[in-house]
Amino acid sequence: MKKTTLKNRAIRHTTADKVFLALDWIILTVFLLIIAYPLLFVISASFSSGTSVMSLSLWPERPSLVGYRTVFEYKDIWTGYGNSLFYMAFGTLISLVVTTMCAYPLSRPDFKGRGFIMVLCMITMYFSGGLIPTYLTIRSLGLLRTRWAVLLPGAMSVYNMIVMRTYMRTQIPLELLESSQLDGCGNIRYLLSIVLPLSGPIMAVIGLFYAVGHWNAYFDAMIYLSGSRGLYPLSLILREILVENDSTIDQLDIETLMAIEERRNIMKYAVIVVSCLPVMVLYPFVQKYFVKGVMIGAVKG
Amino acid sequence: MKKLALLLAALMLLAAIPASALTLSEPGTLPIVDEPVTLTVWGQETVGRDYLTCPNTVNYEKMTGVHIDWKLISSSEDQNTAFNLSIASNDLPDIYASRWLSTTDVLNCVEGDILIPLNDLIESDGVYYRQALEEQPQYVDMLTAPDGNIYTFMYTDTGVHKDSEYKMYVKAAWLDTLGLGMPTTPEEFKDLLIAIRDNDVNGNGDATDEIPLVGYYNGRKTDPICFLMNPYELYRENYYVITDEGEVRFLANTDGWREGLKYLADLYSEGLIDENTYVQDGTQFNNLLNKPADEAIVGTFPCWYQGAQIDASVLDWTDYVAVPPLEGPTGLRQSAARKGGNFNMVGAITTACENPQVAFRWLDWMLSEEGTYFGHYGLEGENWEWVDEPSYFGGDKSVKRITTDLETLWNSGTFPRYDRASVRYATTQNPETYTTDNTYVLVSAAQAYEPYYVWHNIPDIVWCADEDVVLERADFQTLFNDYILAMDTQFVMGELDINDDDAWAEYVAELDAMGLEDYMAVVATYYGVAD
Amino acid sequence: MAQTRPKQSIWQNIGAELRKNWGLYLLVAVPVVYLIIFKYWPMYGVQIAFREYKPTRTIWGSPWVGLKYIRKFIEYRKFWDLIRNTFLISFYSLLTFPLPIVLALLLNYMPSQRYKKTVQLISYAPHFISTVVMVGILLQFLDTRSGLINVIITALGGKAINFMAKPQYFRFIYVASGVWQGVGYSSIIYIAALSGVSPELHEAAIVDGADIVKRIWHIDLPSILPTVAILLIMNAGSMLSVGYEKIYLMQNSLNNAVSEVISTYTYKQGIAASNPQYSYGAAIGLFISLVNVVLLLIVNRITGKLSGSSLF
Repeated sequence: MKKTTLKNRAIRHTTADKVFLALDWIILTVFLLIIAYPLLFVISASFSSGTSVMSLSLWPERPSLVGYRTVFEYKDIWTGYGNSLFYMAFGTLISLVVTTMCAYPLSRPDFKGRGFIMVLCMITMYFSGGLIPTYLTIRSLGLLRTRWAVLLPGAMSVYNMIVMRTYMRTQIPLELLESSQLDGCGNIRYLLSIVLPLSGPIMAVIGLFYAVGHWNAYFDAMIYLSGSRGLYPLSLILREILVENDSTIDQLDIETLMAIEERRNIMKYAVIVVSCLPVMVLYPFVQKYFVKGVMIGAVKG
Repeated sequence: MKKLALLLAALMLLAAIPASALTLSEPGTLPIVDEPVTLTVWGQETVGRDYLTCPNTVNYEKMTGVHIDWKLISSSEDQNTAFNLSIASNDLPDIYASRWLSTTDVLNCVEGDILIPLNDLIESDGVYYRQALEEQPQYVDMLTAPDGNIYTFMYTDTGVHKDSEYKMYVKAAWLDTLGLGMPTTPEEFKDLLIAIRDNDVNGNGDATDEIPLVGYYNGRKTDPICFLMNPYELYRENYYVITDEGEVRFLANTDGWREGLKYLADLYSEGLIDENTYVQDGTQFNNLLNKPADEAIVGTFPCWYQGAQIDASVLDWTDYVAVPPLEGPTGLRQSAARKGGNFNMVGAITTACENPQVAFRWLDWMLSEEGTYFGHYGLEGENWEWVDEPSYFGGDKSVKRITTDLETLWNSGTFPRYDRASVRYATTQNPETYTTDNTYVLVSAAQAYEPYYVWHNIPDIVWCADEDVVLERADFQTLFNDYILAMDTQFVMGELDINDDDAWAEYVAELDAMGLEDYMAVVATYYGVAD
Repeated sequence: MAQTRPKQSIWQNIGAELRKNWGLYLLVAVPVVYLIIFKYWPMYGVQIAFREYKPTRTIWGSPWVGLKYIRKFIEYRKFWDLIRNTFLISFYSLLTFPLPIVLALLLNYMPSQRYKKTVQLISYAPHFISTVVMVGILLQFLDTRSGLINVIITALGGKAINFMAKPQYFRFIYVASGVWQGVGYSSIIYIAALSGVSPELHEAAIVDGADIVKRIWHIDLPSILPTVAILLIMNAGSMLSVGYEKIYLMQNSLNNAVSEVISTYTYKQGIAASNPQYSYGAAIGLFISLVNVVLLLIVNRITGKLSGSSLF
């Protein structure tokens, strides 16, 4: 039986609605074109060779697969890919768990400690010990040159936690809590059996944010994994190719400079396309959770 | 009683003998040790090279008997940060390589007891180090810290192309097409630009698509002012030089500077300097430059070396040749240059090293002549060979590479080097190599500029123990450089009228208001020429 | 029954609370431990701003200099220019705050599910283009000779504009390219929030004869208001924290007067001195943080009063 969605009911649109929907189509289409054009430009550039990528037409100027070929032959990109997938998967898992464990209690109005804990969290958003003390801490914990140095320091983003907390506070009706407490349900069980199922959309969103964050993160890896090339994530490998390092430019001899330039020119766009693929593929899976009302209806029923 | 005393004496003698005595070879010879020793070396990776497996690493291990445990940071990591983290966390390697140590680095390390003084080791083991110091006594002052000790090795470069980087390049073929010779004065240069602008030099039927002069922002000497100011006033980055008499001379507010700006503004107003010069980045510039012959549009451009911009798959390096300095109305024909070659401090041994003597020898050999060949070309027989053809240096025999630079060597600045022109310019001079070995274009450009060198006298190494002075100079530098560049660009582009005396006076007054006098005094103190 | 109970001691209150909600405290203990280890343990480093720190010294071993570096920053000749530039860029960015919301609403009411998902997916992509490449593309698009924008202008009969040479366009270009890159990604949270709105509310409204605009105004916006409020507050609380990388790549000598922000200044100090001035950098960072906190508290209070939803 088809779900009774808004779309299927016979909605009689008013003229105002028709105007709105027409504008909706137009605006979104213009928007789509504006977004898509430069993206198509990047894709087209990834299929051309060398320096000349100034053409306006979307068809590659000198079609060639040299960009992709160079990328595929570059071993570090493959290890980087594997590492990034690892960090993304486990990092997101850890982050979601830790963030939920913080957001949920803070979303409960009857949790007396929430003001204090909130301040505790907010302070860390604004004040930090700085690079060297943090590095020394990680070092004292023995995490240098291990994968934990990438997974743990970024375990919880207070920003994401606050967003999750806000959602839980406003979208989980209090009546559910009261009725479950009457039934003698404990806090943890309530979290697991009621709150989490109802939090599909926010878990999807925050999970996506963390996944993207972990996928793009390079700084922690650069500082803490220094020297362990086998653990480098893709984002760091990309940085090596694409970014001009101001601190060492004078120390590089001409051969090295030209090698860097050449590599960058050949690979630049191909490497971008290749590195975007996982997160682009991830999104449709997350979009499933954005269907209107799917969660609330299911649980209520 | 006597027996006891003898026994005690014997025991004390035994205790005084070091635990494991490594036998080292004669100073200056290889291999250094006969049993395996491992040294940890801190360095930075460079794109395109693999330090772990490159022939030089492999061969040097065999030659010296010392195994290297590399501690490499990523090529994208900020070296300052990584170095300071290494020091702060006390995870010291045996040797610091790659980093061109600043005097501040060394002074900090001395305070933190991070590096060992090398003076004794130079005396006892430094065969090649002593040789370098004897041949270049000025190095002693440059290497010695205020406390009288030497803590680092040196890296020198006899590459003549680095002496003066303020160059201009012109498309050689177009000079012929236009029937013009190489310009020697600003007026002739302007005529050349006008000819490029008005004529269909590239032969495609369109007389308007040629660009007479274009540069880009934030490149290496890619601003036209770097070359075109010189006929009127000396140009040097940071806008000051030290005269031969030892005075600090500020350049950006003189009458000559104003004349230079007038010339540039004139060129710009006639459309001879492309308007994108001051806003575009290197990629856009390269796109303009690297077009095949019949579509070529760039006539002249400023930069330190044309190979940095030319895409070798589209153009040849020799397509663009260097324009020698132009002679200005007052007879000035100059280019700011460094005297005495490049000098940097590279290579230091830490207090954590358990075999300082071995580490020292390991670095010292690199300063020898053989070591210089090794650093430039690799292992003779495997990576290069002698051929009976003349070299750039003028010898009968020359070096021919068997394996390429990138796959064989470390990046040049990684380890100490006492460069010798005879080694550096030992490659074959043969017109066929002009487009594959950049030595020719580098040397010919330098030779064109050499007669006009004016020493800027700003030393590479400055030992200033007063941290406040160091910081003050850096602060002033950022402040003044940003302002001067912004103002000069506005004058050139016509947004401010260079011929308006009031506008010029305002500019000069603002420089004074920002503290020019204090800035120059700080600079003088910093370089040790204050009176 | 006695009306007044004897006052319980603080400890008894705490004990009672712990017993009642022990599950919650257990849960929150894990993140708190995480914060303590990774954020609070290094926090002694905040005092670098008040000491003369060098990496070869320990922090405790560095001499105390008090407000020397904070004063140095405030007395810097261009201090107010930096503050103004940073603030204006942030403020303009903040003005684009409603755009992801508008996008989310437009997508929400798009009848074609397929089209909606496609637009969402594509609009999400620009976020992943790294800054370096992004600025490269931007400069190419604005190029006077071959950039798309100028080609269109000249085709329509106008004269090519050298956008990057005109300081008055800088902020607009910076913010507009930021919108291009971020609006799709930023709208995700609002799409999720809108999907949490009960469909029954909408059905009831339709029965009552409400058209789409009315439904947006009376149902959608109020239900995502808490999310909007929180995000707005947190954005306001990072007003002085404009990142350096994109601006540094977009800077040239002509727009310096409007493009030089606090972070680019700090970055250039590091390059010019060839040794990062840790104490000065820390002092500037601390200063920025304090101003941000003040802004946060102010905006929090205002938003709380206006919308009933605030951070604390």
